[in-house]
Formats: sequence, C-alpha cells, structure tokens
Amino acid sequence: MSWLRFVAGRLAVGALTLVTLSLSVFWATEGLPGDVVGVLSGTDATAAERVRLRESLGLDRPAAQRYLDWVSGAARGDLGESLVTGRSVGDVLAERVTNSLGLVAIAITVIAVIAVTVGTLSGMRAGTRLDRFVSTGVGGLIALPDFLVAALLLTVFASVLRLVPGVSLVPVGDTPWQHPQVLVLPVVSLVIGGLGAATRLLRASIIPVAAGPYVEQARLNGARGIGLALRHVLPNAAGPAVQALAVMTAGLVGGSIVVETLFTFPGVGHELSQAVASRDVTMVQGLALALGAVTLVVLLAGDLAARALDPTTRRSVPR
Amino acid sequence: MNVVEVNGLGLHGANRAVVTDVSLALAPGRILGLAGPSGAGKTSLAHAVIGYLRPGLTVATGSVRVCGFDPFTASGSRAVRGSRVGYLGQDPASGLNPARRIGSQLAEALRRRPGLSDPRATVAEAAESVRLPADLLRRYPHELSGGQAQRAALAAALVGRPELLILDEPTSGLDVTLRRQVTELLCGLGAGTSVLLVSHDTEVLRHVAHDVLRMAAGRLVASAGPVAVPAPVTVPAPAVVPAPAAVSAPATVPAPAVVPAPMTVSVPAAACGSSPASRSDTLLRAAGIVAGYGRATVLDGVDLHVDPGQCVAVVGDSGSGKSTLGRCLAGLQAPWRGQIAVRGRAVPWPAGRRGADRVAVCYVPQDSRSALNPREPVAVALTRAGRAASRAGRQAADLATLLDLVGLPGLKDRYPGQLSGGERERVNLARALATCGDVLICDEVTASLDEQSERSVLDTLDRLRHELGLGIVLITHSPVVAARADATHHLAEGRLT
Repeated sequence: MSWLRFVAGRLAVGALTLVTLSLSVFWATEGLPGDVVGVLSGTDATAAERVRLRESLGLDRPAAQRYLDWVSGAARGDLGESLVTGRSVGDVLAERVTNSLGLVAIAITVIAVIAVTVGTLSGMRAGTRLDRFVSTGVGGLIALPDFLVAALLLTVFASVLRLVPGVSLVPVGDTPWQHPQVLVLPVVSLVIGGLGAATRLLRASIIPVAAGPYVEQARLNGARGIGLALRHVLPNAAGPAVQALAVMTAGLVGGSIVVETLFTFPGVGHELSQAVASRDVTMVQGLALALGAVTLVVLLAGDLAARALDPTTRRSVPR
Repeated sequence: MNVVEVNGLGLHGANRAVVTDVSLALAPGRILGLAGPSGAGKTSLAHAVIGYLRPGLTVATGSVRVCGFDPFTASGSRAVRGSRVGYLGQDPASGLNPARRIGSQLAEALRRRPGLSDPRATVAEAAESVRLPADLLRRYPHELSGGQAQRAALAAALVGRPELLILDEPTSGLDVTLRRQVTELLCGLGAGTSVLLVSHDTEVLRHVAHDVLRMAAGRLVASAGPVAVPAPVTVPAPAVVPAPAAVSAPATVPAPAVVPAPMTVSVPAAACGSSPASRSDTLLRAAGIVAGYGRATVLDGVDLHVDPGQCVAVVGDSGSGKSTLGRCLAGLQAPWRGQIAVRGRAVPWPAGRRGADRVAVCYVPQDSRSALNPREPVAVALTRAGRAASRAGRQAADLATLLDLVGLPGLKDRYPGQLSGGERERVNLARALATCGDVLICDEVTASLDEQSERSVLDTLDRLRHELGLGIVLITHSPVVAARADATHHLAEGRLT
C-alpha cells in the first residue's frame, strides 16, 4: 500500500473518530446533573429569572439543534464562548494549550529516555536477575496510584523539604517556562505515572527482536553490548516501540488533567476541571474535544512513524 | 597449534543428549567437513565451537579450545567471535538484519579487521567473490531473493578474513553454478583460514574438505580421513544432470551408523480429501501472471498448468523470480495481472478471499526458520493446519500419520528452536500436507537435507501424487530434485520456458 493511501486512510478514520468523540462529549455533558443557570443565578433567583437566563444563553433550544450549531462552529474553528465568563473558548485554549503540551512533552521525553534504556537493557537480558529486578520495580511503579504519588511528592518536596513550590502559580502575564521550578512536581508526577507502563511496553517490543535469528547471528559474530543494541536490536524494535510511546503520550494528555488540577498548573486540564465545577458546558465541550483531537493526532503520528520505521516498507532504489 | 580442539564434548538438552563425547581437531589452513543426517547435532556442535548454546542446552562434559581460548568464558568469546572466527548460520537469509542495507552489514563485519586502507573496495571485492552484483549492496534484505541473501550472508562471513570460518550449510540454496563458485572460493582461501564446514552436500564436502567427519545421533561415527586433494576443483559441470541413483553417498564416506527411520508408512486413501473422481481435470492453471516489486517486473506473462498427480519443476537462476511465482500461485502475493484457476474454478487474490479454496494451493516456504511460529510446538502447528482443512470441508490427516510421512516420528512436542534445519523443513512440509490441498508448491524444501532425507522426502511426494492425485510444483535449484518431475520449466527474464 502506498504512503498516500495509508495516510488518507488514517486521516479518514481519524475524522470519523473525532465526529464520534464530539457526539459523546456533547451528550455526556448534556447528561450532567445541574446546569450553568443554577450556578450563575444563585440560590435566590425566581423561576422566571432562571427561565430568562436560560433563554438568553440559548439553552432552551432542542439539544440536537445545539449540537449541530456547536459542531458546525467547531469545524470552522469557533468553539463558542464560556457561559460563565463570556470569554471565547478558542482564546482560552490558545492561551493554555502550549503550557499543557509543553508539560506533556517534557514528561514524555524523560519517560522515553528512561524507558528505552531500561526496557532495552532488561529485554535483551530477559529472564536474568537484572530483568526480574526491573520487572518487579516496574510492576510496583504501575501499581502505585497516581494521586498517591502526587500527594507524596507534595508532602516530601514541597512541605517538608521546601525545595520546590507545592502550587504551580505563575504571575499573570508570565509563562511557566519563565519559572522552571513550578514545572518540577507536575513533570515528576507524570513521569512516575507513565514510566512503569512505558518500560514494560518497551521491554515487550525488544524481547522478540533480541531472540530473533539475525540478532543471534550478530552475537555469534561478535556484536555485543551497546553496538548490538544500537545496530541490530533497536532498529528492528523501533516500530512497535514508537507505537508504545505514542499510546503513552496519549495517556499522559489525559493524565495531565489530574496533575494540573492538583498542582493548579495553568494548563488546559486545570481549565477543564474548573469548567466542570462551574457547569460551564461550552467550555467543557470545547476543551474536551480539543484534548481528544490532540490525542488522535499523537496516535496518528505514532502510526506514521511506526510505518516509516518498518524496514520491510523501505525501498532502496526506485527500480 | 590447532585452531580448534574439542575434547570429549557432550551437550545435553532438557531430556536428551544432543552431542555425546565428540573430540576433533582442526589444524591451521585445513578444511574440516561435518556431515550427517539432519538432527544429528551438527549445528549444535558448530555453535559450541564459538561458545554458543541454544536455550535449553548445557555443556555436560568435555572442553573446547579455539585459537587457544575457551569460547564458553566471557573473555574467550569476546576474543574469538567476529574477529578470529567468522560464523555463518543455517537459513542465512534470516540471519541478515532486516533494518540495514547489505553493504552496511558487510562493512560492519569488516570493522573487526584492523588496518584496512579502503573498506569500500574490500566490501566490493567480497561481494564480487560470491558473484553478488554490486547494485545489490544498496538493497535491504527483503529485496533480495533467497539465493542472493545467502550469498550476501556468505560475503559477510568472508569479508573479515577470520582465522576460522564456521559455515553451516553455505551452499544449500544455491544452484549448481553458484555452488561451484562457492566451492572454488573456499578452496582458494589459502593457508590463513581454517574452515569448519557443516554440510549435507557430499559433492561439496568431497571437493573442498581435507577431512570429513560424519555425525549420527550426536556422535562422531567415523572419520573418512583425507578425502581428496582439494585443488584443482572438479565439481561436475552444471550441464550434467546426475540421475538420482548416482548421487547416493560416495564410497569414500561411509554410510551412517544410524539410518533415519525409513518411510514405510503407507498413505491411507482417506488421509487427504481430494476425490479421485476429478483426476481428469487440470488441477491448477495459471495464465499470464505478471508480477513485480516497485517498478521492477519480475514475472512477465507466466503460464503454468499442473495436472492431477503431475509434478512440475521450476528451475532458474537465483533472483529470477521462482519464489515470487510460488507465492503468486499460492495467493500470498497478488500479481499485477493474470488469472489462476483451481480445478477449473477461477480463484481471486489474495488467498484470504478464496473461501473454501484458500487451502487448495499450499505453499511450503523456502525460509523454514521464519515460517514456523517459534512459540508453537510441532503438534499445535500441524493440528491448526488440520483444522483449516476441516473448515474448508476437507478431511484432515492425523498427526502421527503426517509426522511419519515426513520421517519425523516422535517430534510432536518440540518447538521450532529445538529442531535442526532439516527437521524444520520437513515439519513445514508436514504442515502443508496437513491442509490437504490439491496442489503443493514446494520452494526449495529439500535444500538443507542430506541426500538420504532428501530422497525419502521426494519419495513421499511421489507417493502422495500417485496415490492421491496431488499436484506438485517443485521450485528448486537442484538438478537431482528437478529430475523427479514430469516436466521441468526454466524461469528466465520473467518468462517460463
């Protein structure tokens, strides 16, 4: 199959998934108990005031019509306005998305370096004492609940040792990159949350390659250690490994919501949890859809990279 | 000092001895042949010489010294592997790294040879010595044919000019011309290189080896002593097609003490489900097959038909497209153009769309190592193929019958990693037989078998086609194998003649 057809196929599937996602996001938020009217009008409002407010926000129209309006707007890049603050969802997204993606990018880089190193070491020595030690440690890491890790980090590094701030507050107008210390705890929590699974996936993609006939042949001709790993094992395990890291990244995008909320890091996830608290349906829908789209793009990139790294798709010369 | 000294070596597997009390010595510049039926422990012994044991094997007794080092120690193996000793394993095509170009793999083999002024020229020279065209150096392994890959792997073993070369079946997939060139090459290595040559090919051993040792059931059974003066090379010209009878073991090599179980199993008529009533139809008719890779046309209008009970041989140079034709016929690869009909019914590509006809044409691939699932015991692989036959409405043969047919009784619980190269090939064949197809496409299925096993496998195929009306396409480089066929077609420049 040619590259063009492959990419076109994946894009079509991605678009279809996005439509399904928009449906589930819309109907899930629609089904949430309580609504923005209750939050905005307060407890003292009369029934008539509530109806007026609902009409002014356009919430009295049928849900199907509001869905179509929302989706057609989203397709043009307009995600609507916050029901609470009146700010454009697109603006909030643009302001916060780089913070969140930056956070995830740093975390996945750290995870990739550690997981590839440890996964390769342990996968190439499958069944040895080192491998069992790594597998046990990794299993423990996976078993740790994320929120427990974050709470522990907060207690030890922020409250007791006072090395880093416990809350990632950034002065208005500044970006988190100007205050690297606020990044430490969120990044470490994400890394600890994702590292275990990533290492296991890497180890699993290394093992069949390391047991393959060409690695045996290379070993018997003197290749060993780093040379064996870099020239023989990793090039052939790279495809599945990249897929594993892509899935991991997608998972971190979701995980960042929890971490950002916990450390009040100024990212999309933090905005999202605040929007949920204030029943700001438009904001929730817009941010959730955007996070879903980012996840799909990451997975698509993983598919493309894995295909590019599969040696059997390579052509030496256009003969 | 001897390059290799093995003293009383015994290797044990989980519940059986693989090698028992083997002692041998190899002097500098000498070529030692290691012959014997498949499963005799030849490859395990060759592995032991570089201090390698397949998983599950242990050294029970004895010792090995290579260039004065003990290869089973970490420092010893570092001292010999890749620098003093070059190793080429069985099924060399699967030993090439799929992610790297042939040229870069040859260059890597060279890095262990110090003080070389022009590595590029040396690589080109090594490729030339195995008659590998220079433009193939830029290709990836999956872009080479089986024979080309084998020569590339051989070049990689030769390029470092090691003191000791261990070659495991280096000529098994090569045609007569190429085999003779490799033979000349080995004879011309000179005094600097000793060779341990594992081969089932008595012709090659006779002309290359100074001494031939024969193994059976893990023991050395006899030493043939100096066989012949290696130079000048007197391998028969390719035009001479020896009759099968003429290729029995030459008198200089004594017959093995342990003869593999002769295949006296009669094929029960119900073993396979093809009905004798339809014997008059043409089983397989392929017309105008055009296929290729990228922009290169490999097959350019191939017609082929196989009648019930007929055996058709397809011969041709390495890289001429024999395997491509086999894969197209079996439906594993969709050709660009062409039709194929089984028993008069047109079937589509790929094989997955053939419904109940998907097992009608079976393919027995060339690279037996990558064709078997390493985590699946023989019995499971065969049973699974039998279930595919049942789903297609054919009556599957039972496990014991199948293993007896290919002369491998009692191997049902082994994993592919515990089989020798020759045993793997026969398991592959048994798996294809288990699907009870109408046509069997055998791609070099006897390439790494010793003469005796080869003869019995060919006898089995003959009996199957005569008794059950099975059609057989034999893709082969060997005139001995092709001589068994009713018709021989030559594939050259994309056309079958």
